[in-house]
Amino acid sequence: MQKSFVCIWFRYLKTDRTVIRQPALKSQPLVLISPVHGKMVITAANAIAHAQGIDRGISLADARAMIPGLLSLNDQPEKAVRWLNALGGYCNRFSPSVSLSGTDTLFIDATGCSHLWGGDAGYLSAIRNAFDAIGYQVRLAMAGTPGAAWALTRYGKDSTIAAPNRQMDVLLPLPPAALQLDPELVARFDKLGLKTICQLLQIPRPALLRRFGQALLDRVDACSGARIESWEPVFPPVEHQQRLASLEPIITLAGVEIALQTLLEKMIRQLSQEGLGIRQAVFTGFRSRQKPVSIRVGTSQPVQDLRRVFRLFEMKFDRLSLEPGIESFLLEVPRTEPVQHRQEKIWNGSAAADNEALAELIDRISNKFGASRISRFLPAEHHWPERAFRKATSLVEEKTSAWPAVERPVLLLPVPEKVEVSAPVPDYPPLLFRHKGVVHEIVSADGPERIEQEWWLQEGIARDYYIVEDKAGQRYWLFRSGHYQPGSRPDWYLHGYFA
Amino acid sequence: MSVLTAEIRKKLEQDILALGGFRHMVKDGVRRPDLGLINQAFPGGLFPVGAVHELLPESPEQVAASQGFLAALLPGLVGAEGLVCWICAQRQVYPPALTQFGLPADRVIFVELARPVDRLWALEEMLRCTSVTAVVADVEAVSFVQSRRFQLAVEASGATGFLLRSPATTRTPLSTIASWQISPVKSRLPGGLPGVGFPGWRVELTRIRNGRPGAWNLFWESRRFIFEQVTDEVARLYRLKKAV
Repeated sequence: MQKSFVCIWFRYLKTDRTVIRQPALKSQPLVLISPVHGKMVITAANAIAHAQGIDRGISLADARAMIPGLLSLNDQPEKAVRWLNALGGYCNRFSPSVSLSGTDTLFIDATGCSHLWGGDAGYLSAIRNAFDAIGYQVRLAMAGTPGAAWALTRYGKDSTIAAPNRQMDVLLPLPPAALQLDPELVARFDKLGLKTICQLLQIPRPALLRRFGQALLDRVDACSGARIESWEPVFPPVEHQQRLASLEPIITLAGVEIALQTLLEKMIRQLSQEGLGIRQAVFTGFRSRQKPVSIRVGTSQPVQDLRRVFRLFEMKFDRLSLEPGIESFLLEVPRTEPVQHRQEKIWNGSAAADNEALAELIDRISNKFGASRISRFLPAEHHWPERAFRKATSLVEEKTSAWPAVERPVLLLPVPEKVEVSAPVPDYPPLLFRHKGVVHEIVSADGPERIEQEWWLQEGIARDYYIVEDKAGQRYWLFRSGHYQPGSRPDWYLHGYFA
Repeated sequence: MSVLTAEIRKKLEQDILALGGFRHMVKDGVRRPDLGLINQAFPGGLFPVGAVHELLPESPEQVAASQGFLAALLPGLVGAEGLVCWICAQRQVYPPALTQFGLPADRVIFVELARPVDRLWALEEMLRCTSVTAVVADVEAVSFVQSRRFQLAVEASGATGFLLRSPATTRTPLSTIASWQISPVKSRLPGGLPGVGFPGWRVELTRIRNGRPGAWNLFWESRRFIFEQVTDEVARLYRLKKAV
């Protein structure tokens, strides 16, 4: 299929953005400045200032000499890419694949998209109108390669549409700089009197290669389409997605529900044909002049049940802000999994044989509070008490080793608490210990059980654990940290309560 | 009293319970834990399932004892393969320790929610779910109305809930079927061997609707409950029952 790309050049990205935020600045010359080598240098100028001969790179003092009372604001250079990224997200309504370039240019892969807007011209004017409405001045061009589209925005007529496979014809009268070359190389062409790409291409290829290097030929090929340029979309395209455009902006929740229902029906029909279920789904609404709004849900196992996914989304509807109306909807399923029936084997025979309802409940809880809130534990083969278990990766994961058959307290303190003991004989359990001001007199004890640090995981001293029972019949897990050494007394800790 | 009257009486008792909202409690063919002598204290001699129990520990030692007692009781409720949901603020139960009470930790789904409100929400949702058999929840302040909601939820679903009320909070009366207090007692080792033996608990059933409160000392030995001795109150009730 014949590819086509749209290049959008945000010529005054930073100043336009400033004016959108502060509309009062609209009709006066405005520059953004930042300090370079101790003097204030202009980094961006709006269209009015630009028309009066002010461009980036001149110092503020010079500019003030040209336009007295020129308004200057501090530049925030690190924000430009973020803004551009957000604009890329906004452009997702025109095509699923959008890419960034530099700090002021977006590329849209428009292949197969423009007919939805009544042809290429309609497509470009829709893009222009969208950005005009927000307040960005853009220069647009459409061509068969991103390189050619870039050249046309910078050096061609605005809104040029290059005929399919004829992009080189429109490029020929443009200066060599349109090929996005190294400035040094451009200066050399200028010196040699090569003013247009046409003159340049009249030189035979081997001569070009010998005199100007491979980089030049690569750029020429990239613009002509002989070589495919790498394409990095801002948002990696999702394999499973469904779109729905609305005639009028949707402002009511009822409308959103209908849209979601329709999209989910289509999506689940598509997925069930492939034998897949939803693990994660994102529902996005594109609003006019605003950031898109989206809600994301996840499930603990592949789901093909429309009602179940719908209810997960329903819980998050309060996070959707509908103002000033949603123009189109997008449902993406970034994570799918084959639907298998292996769960039944594990869950069968349990009282929870009807596992669907429980899994749905777990999904609802994890979507409301976060998946990390829900955990199941499996044995881990470690002696160190804090490491003797691990989190299961899913609700159905089976244990690979048995739980150890050792006496362990049912309530383990997250951090061992220091206790004072009276232990007259080394390597014997203490006679009594004091915890939080209460003295516990020990009547019987088991131990010691020495547990060494696992040196391949963590260095440290060993613990000697004792199970002790006090007069009241309360059972504790105490340990002594380290051995008795001449001149030092090891500390004792309370680590848990036995049932 | 003839056998016939006894049967009629039992039937009437069951009907009364069913009308009182304890439909699942008296239903036959429901899996329920067998607590030996304690069963006598329950209405109809059956552990109340499909109801909400509360446990009232007063110290960390009693919390641990309550958790151990629950871990020993729950497999009888959910079966060897069944799942238990455990809602807590921050998990303090040590998973490897549950195995000795017959409840492997991989059969427990822990839900950790820091905010008490969230915990109550999750508990109500779980009690409402028909495929959940048992839920344990660490709760702090619970209102009477909230506990009525739990009761209505379990009446519909048949789930059994256990509220482990934190020691630090004030305890208002709740609409629960039973109140338990479990405290540790001196462990037992056969033959007077030295060391710490099988865990022992004093189980106090301080309140049971339509039943008879009592207290028992029991031990967890070889994966079952062994009763130390029948306390006076229960012995009296037991004799009464026999006499009837």
